[in-house]
Amino acid sequence: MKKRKGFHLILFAVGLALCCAVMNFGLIQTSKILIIQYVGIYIIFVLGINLVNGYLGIFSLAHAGIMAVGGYTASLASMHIFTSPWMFPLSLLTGGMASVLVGLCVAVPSFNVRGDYLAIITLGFSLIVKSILQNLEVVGGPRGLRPIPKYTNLIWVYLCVVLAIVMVNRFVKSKYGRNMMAIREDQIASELVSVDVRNAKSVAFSVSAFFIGISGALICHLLSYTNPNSYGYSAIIDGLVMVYLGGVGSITGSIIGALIWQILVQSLRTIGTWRWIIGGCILVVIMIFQPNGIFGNRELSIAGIKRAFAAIRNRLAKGAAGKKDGQ
Amino acid sequence: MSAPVASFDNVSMHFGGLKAIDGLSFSVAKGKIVGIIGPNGAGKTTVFNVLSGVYTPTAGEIRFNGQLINALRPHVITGRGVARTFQNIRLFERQSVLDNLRAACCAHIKYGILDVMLSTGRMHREEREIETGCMDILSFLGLADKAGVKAGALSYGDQRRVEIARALACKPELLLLDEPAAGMNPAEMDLLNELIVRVRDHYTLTILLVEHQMRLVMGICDEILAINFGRKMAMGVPAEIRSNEQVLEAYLGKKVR
Amino acid sequence: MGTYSQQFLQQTVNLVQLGSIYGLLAVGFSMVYGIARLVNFAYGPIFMVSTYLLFFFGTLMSAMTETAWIVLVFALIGASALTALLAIIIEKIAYKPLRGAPKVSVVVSSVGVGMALEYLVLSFIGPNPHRMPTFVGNSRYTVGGVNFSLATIIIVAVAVAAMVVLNLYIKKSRTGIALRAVAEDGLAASFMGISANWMISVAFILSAIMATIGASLYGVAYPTFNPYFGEQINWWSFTAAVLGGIGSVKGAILGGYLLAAVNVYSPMLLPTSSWRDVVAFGVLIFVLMIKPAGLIGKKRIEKV
Repeated sequence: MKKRKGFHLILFAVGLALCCAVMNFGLIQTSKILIIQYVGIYIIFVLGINLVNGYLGIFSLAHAGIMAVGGYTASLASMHIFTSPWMFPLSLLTGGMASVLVGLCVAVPSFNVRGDYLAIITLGFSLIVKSILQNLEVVGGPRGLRPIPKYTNLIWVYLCVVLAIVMVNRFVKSKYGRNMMAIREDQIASELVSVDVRNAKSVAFSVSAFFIGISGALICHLLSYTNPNSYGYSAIIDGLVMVYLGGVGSITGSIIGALIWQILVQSLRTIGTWRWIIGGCILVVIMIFQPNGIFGNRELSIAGIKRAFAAIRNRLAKGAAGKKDGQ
Repeated sequence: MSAPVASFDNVSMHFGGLKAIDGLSFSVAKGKIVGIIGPNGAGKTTVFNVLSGVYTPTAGEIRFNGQLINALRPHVITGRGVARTFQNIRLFERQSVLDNLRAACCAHIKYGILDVMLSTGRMHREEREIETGCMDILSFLGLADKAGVKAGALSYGDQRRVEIARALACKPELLLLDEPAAGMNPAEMDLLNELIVRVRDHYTLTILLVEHQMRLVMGICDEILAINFGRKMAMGVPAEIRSNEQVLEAYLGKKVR
Repeated sequence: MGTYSQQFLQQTVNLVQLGSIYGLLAVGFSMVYGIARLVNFAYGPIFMVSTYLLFFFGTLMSAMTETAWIVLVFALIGASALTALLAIIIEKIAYKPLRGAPKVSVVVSSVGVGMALEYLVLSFIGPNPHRMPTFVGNSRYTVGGVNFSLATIIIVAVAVAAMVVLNLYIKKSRTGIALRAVAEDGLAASFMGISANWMISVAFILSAIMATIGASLYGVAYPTFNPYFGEQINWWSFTAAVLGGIGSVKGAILGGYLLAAVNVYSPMLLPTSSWRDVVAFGVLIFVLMIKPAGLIGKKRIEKV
């Protein structure tokens, strides 16, 4: 136990050192660093969505709206209140907290509305947020906000990603995580074994919203502008795709999903629209062969890898034996 | 005689025109095993559903340990000490047996979200406590070796026992068993008989059970409540019920004169 | 005559026109939704493809004949056939292997199909808007200060006729009864000798035909289009279908009209029309909060 903690700390420090090195010595092209930052930010985004859509098993489309609230609030905070770079964490926190508040509002309908009906409500929520932002001149109306101070850099992204992974991991392994999964399996049974469903859903939605909000804040401070159109249908679809591609109910899955999709979308710009065609086909193929996503309800672990190898070896051995029998 | 653990006072549960329970009154004394029998559609499971809070009764008063629990939400009632199993098994199938039990402990866990995020000693202590508690229950029911298995992968009989284990993890005073013997053969039923009595004695529980199998009901129940069309036909010790005219009629039809 | 009430009547005419289109599209969405239990997010892109097919056939036919209705009929037949074929191919490739998989997986698969379709059209045809050939002359009539165009009358008539015919088909025909049986319980239906696979294909064909008729009417009302607009249609149809009550044809029609009503009337209550979406979705959320199973759907009492 202690040994592992030390190992994790060393790993963290090495990562941090690597980020500093990359930033200061120009080891990697700036465009590549940008992609790495995108991947990191979307990992946080997908982790957040996965809490509700994966672990809690609710088909929610509220993430675009929640991301918008987080992004806008943090940006406004950086522009008007926390104006120096070292106050960036405060802006992030403000954005995250604002998202938690709207996340709680979204949790309320989930108490008695289910399934696709809830999907429509959450969709409506996202589109309402977008529309309100378009109409509020205070936040720039359809033009959005600019210039937002460019505070996001590789180190901040790295820190936030590590924090998000650690927190989400702790969260899903705690009683809250167990409650979420119990509700996903059978809501009535979980109520009857003393799970407070309303409370569990509220907590899940707010923690989810916190991370989605943080990711929104990071992206705004990376691009140094934001506008309502970034939070429309395509943001909703993007989030869904990454969650269900990588794997529902899995932290590894969230990371893989964000990684694959962002690399596809960001680094294959040269092939233009064809990346979306390829992306669409990849989605179909993955769903056919892994309906729960690449890492659906599983985590990458050393024991898991060993098991997988053992299974492959078994199958090979059996195949060989089968062939011998056949001859 | 001490105050009853649970009591129904003129309770009715109507769904539109259907009177699933109609003015039912009875009480359950502490430490007893009470069976509820009746023909199909007599309202047996509905008694459980209103008692555990799935439905709010249309009229009447339900008391648990003297307190009114009519309008409470299910998890509150469970938290106060009423736990149940389900007629058609409802385990969290994709989770391990141990996690099924741990999910049921949640009313007794005090740590909060900050404890989780900071991974405090308090959280680890409580988690260890409930884990030992759950493992104790599992070993008592002879399921300790199944703790890590996904609940959906267990055999039917084991799933039935995990349902009881999960209900016990809620630390109840009153345990509701909804057709625990469904689908069992006579030998398994005898084992179940013995298990139910053992559970009652070990955890000092009061047990209310709905059952079709007379072998089980007559064998272990201290008292039997017979209902039909949502109304009480009779309540008494097994011998009384066995010879009750009305009950016989409901089960076997009218006597030919 | 108060201008306000006149404006209201005028808007009602618009509502009936828009609602008929939405209703028809929602019915198309709901066919697949109700029978295959499948939220088909490729529906919008399929609709978009059928619009382009109509455009091609329409232009082709216009070169051969001047008579508008012949152009329309032949364009409709050609486009429906190809759209239905496309829908079936999609079903066989992307949805059929996923029978029995979690519902969301199929949704994601359909998102993938939709994405691929949209950008395929985009890469071959380009993002520039096209204009639908004129199928209907632009005669206008005024009754009591309210303007009607011939287009409105035709749109409403065709949409209502299509919905009525479809409803009769599902209620009365052998195939329709089989369809409903599969919707109710696929397994039980298969024991009665009904091929669930074939019925799902039928549902996709009907859905494609509704989408094509919808596309032609939409083209009459709003002639310009580009590859992106399928997405909007997708969300509208989904919303209308869910709003009415999942799997109910009548519900979908009702949902379509309600969605149109909210869209058409809300600007009248507001100082500026830009708040329309807020009000529209606010109303939708409100409706679903008080009717959590849609307008027509029955609230399911879960058995314990």
